[in-house]
Amino acid sequence: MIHITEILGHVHDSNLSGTLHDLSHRNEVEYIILDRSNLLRRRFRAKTDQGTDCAVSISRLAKLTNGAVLLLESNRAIVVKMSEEQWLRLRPRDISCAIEIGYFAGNMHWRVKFEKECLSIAVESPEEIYLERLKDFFTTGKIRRIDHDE
Amino acid sequence: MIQQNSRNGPARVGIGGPVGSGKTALIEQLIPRFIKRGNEIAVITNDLVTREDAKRLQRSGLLAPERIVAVEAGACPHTVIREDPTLNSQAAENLDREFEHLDVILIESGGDNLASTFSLDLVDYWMFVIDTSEGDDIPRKRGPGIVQSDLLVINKVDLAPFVGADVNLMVKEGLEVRGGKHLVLTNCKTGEGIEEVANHIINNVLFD
Repeated sequence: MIHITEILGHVHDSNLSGTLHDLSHRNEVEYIILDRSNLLRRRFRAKTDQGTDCAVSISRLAKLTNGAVLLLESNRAIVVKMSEEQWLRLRPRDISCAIEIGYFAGNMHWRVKFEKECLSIAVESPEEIYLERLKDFFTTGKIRRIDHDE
Repeated sequence: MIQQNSRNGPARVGIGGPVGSGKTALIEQLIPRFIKRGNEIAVITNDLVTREDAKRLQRSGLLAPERIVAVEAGACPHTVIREDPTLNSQAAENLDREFEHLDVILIESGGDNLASTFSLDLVDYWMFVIDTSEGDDIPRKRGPGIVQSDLLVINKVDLAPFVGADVNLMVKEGLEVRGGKHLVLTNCKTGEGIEEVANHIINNVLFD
């Protein structure tokens, strides 16, 4: 187990990027993959994508970001990578449906973003849970799910 | 064992769940186990408008009274562990200053509903305590506390036969809605399952 107690910098920092570049050519950069919500953690146990067991315990004033460098040695680096966020993109049928789905999503404490006429809900647990809760909205035609290119 | 103060302060562990599910009883079981293994511990309790849980723990004699701090939420309990955890963060920082060798601070939420969750700004690891007498359909109701917690604790397994709860069903559906994340069955009156809860905390935030 490797103990990590500080963030050394970011992959784009000029004093780190050269070494990281060299290590990556030798497949010696390992990643701890975290979703957005888990970037808030300061003390946790995680395995890198190559299976290295890490005990992370950073200052409560520090903040993990996508690309944070946690370890940099001559033959190994460990970097945080944020997993791609999944969104459920919904288009309400009309204004009253938009108000209703907006209220519902807020009441469910779901994280959302607005994209033109669509409401996008961050999928932070199994997607079926969201779809089940939204079942009545779908079956009554109040909302429909759309792909990004629609 | 890692000396926590060389590792950026004590670990903070949240314990949430509905009223009467056994949060305080779980803490009463955990305290002696951590003391036995040489960990220094403190507790923060949250109540609506009283300090009942803190007083109960202080009366228990398990821990020096000054290591048990009460926060009065004053409103919905989840507001002070999620939306604005400042009161609890300050209480934790005060304990950290006062007891320089602390390894872990247990933060007990006030009793709340299934939607209650902890901010990861406040805690490093959190568990959600439910019990069999609430009904065996609780896990499949998929409350955020049940789905998102790091560890789900199903307490009062001894009562299941008397309230018609199917513990196996609770386990099956608990694992399903949590995507396989851990859950533990406990009886906080007898200590059943507590060692496993302690081991999860030790493994995930004390790093032994």
